[in-house]
Amino acid sequence: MVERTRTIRIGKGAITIEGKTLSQIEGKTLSIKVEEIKGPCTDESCQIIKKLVIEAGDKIMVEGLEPAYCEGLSIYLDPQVYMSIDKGRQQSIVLEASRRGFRLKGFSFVS
Amino acid sequence: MPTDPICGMFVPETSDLHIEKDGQRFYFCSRGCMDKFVSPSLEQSKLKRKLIVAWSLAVVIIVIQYIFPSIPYRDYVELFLSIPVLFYSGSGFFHGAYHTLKARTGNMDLLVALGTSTAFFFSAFITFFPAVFPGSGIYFDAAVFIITLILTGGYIENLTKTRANSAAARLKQIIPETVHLISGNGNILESKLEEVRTGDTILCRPGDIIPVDGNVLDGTSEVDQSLITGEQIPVIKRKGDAVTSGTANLNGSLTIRVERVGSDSTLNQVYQLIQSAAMGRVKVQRIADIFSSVFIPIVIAAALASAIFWSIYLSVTGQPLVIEYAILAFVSVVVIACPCAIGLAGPITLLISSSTSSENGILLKNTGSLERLSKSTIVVFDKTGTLTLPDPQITEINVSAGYNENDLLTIAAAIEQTSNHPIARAIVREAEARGLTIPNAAQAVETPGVGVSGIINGMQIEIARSDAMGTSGVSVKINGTVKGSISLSYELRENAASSISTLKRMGLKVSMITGDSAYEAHRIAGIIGIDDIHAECLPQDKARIVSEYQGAGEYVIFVGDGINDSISLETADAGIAMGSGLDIARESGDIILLNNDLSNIPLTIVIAKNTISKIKQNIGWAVGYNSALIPIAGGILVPIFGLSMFSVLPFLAALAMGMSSTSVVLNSMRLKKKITRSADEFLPGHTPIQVKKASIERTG
Repeated sequence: MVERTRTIRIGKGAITIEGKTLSQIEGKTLSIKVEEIKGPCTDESCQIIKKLVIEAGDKIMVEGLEPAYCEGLSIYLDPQVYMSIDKGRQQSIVLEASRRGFRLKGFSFVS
Repeated sequence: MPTDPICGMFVPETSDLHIEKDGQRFYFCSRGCMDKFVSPSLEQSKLKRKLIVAWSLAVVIIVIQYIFPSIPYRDYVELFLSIPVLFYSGSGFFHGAYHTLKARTGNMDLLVALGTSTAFFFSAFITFFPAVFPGSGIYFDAAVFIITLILTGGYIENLTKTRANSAAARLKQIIPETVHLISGNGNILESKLEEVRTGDTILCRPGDIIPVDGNVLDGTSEVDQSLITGEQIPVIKRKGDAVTSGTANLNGSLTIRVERVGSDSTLNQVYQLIQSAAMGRVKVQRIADIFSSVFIPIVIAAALASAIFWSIYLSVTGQPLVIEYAILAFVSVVVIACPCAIGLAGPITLLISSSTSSENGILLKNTGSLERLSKSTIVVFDKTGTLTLPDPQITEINVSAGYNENDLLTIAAAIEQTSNHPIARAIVREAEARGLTIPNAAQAVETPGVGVSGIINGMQIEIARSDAMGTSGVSVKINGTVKGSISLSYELRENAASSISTLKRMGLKVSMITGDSAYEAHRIAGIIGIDDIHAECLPQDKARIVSEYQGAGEYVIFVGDGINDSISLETADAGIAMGSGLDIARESGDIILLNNDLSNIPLTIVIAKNTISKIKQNIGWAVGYNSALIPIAGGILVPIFGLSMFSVLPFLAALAMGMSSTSVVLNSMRLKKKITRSADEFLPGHTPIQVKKASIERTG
């Protein structure tokens, strides 16, 4: 059986959602937000640690996020994520995380 | 949420601890951080005092411990001597650990505080209750030396960071605190710079640094712009010319009308952009994100695991001093780990790269674009204002009988002064340069794409513009009859041809996009050696062509005018804008060439490649260092060197931790030399680069 796949173009890059993950997300809103934590240095010279927070649901706050649509799917991305995928030409895949929620394989922050 | 500029902690905007500086508001987590920010020199002398106390007492403790171990009450003497080192010299670590625990995060302070307090309190316990662990030694020397060595490492790191940021610091230092303000009645008053406002008039004497952006109202002088643009040859400034803050007035007095001052000035914008370079992101920094986010808990877990392992192993094998070795393993692991080196690897390299670039007149607005620059395969140039000078130059004036060149130019300038078209500006500039008196025109009307018309002294004047056969020009009609024409053409920028040739030698494709006629595009392209030409394009066509290249798999650098080509500059993988001398912060593009020198484009690519390679090297070193040394601190080499190695491990760990961040900063500082070497490799015999190399060496 051919696995179902959806690919959403994000500028010069794309986000792909496949199979089981797609079934979980379909018809819902997927948001990809950014959480920032201070780096390990004792002054301000360290890079800020950035993490993705990916949620799927019916009632998700999407204020300030960039929308991207595809058949049956609504994705809202933090502008930093949108720019990173676009400028970095990243081909990212939404996967289930090992514990709970989702992760974005093949994604890195770029500015 | 704003961050404390000293410790980096997030601070709510409602905090009372804030100050205004250079038009910016800074928030602080504590009064201590605020004091550090307000007077860094005071803080540096405080750190020196702490180091003197730490080293003086640490040496005494070592002498007692290893040379006079049998002095009476040795343990109590060492306890007494180590208290000031831990709780005065090392107070910053405990303070930092408290704050990081309060914020439920972890940092280097937490590891140092954990390591030193474990060694100290274990030793204090042994001092007061020696019978509980018979035969156990005291480790006040370890606790004290960990603090002393890490403080020393921090001190050296601060010095190297200051050197790394020297170019930016120089920008701020040169601006004088007072200026010569010319009052309304012409008196010259000494005034504080912060009291100067837009519209004021100041006098700048020979040898003064020009403290503001403005226009020359009177006087002529040579101005050294090297600190801002990297250009070593002074430029003559006279009435009407714009001058920039941070440039040096060499040999004449200039009266200047202030246009921008303080945080709005070019100098401040350049400074701010260099400082914010460290915030840029390249892909490889993801590794640092991953390591940093899990590092502290993993290190503490590894330290506990090694302590538990050694206590079980030594108990099972029936060896003495089980608790002592377990504690030494714990202390060594938490002290040897240096998460800061990983977090610092990217930002410090980007800061040095930005600083080096600025010395050459290259302003990195978005250091994240360096990665895409390093991968670039094609450089697409805009023509007018980029490959050529922005305004055309008059090449020929033809007149009918009864008129001379100056008559025709006066009439044309009178009408054209109502327009902002580049041709109009060139005609007015030429008339002014010839000292002609330009009358005012009545009923002037500009028709876009056609020309301008108006009335002068009752005569109906029509200026019709044309862009035919490679030269731009105007015909001048007086009362319906053509009385002459003025021809203009765009001059190529210096270094245009050599820069194109260098880019080709570097293996890059080169293309040109212009709104000009195909004839003019081919004429210019032919001179400088570009074969791939797109003519008669609208601004949106330029962006579309850039996207088409990207669709074909190319990594595109677009070089254009910072104001007019904003769509293409943003669409490209990396946008390089020619500095317009206007508001730098508002210009589009990832990189701005402040001196408009095209030979800086190959240099920018060389800088980008070397910066990315240095970041990779630094992250590799910091991750490798931590991955290799943590198992050693945990005792992986004990089977080879025996348990006695635990007595020196805490010292070696402290030395390694103290120097790890410094090693990253020092390695990053080698970037300048690497760029110079690469410039030789990529750009052999390229004179402008060699001139700049000399400049790098002089200032570096």
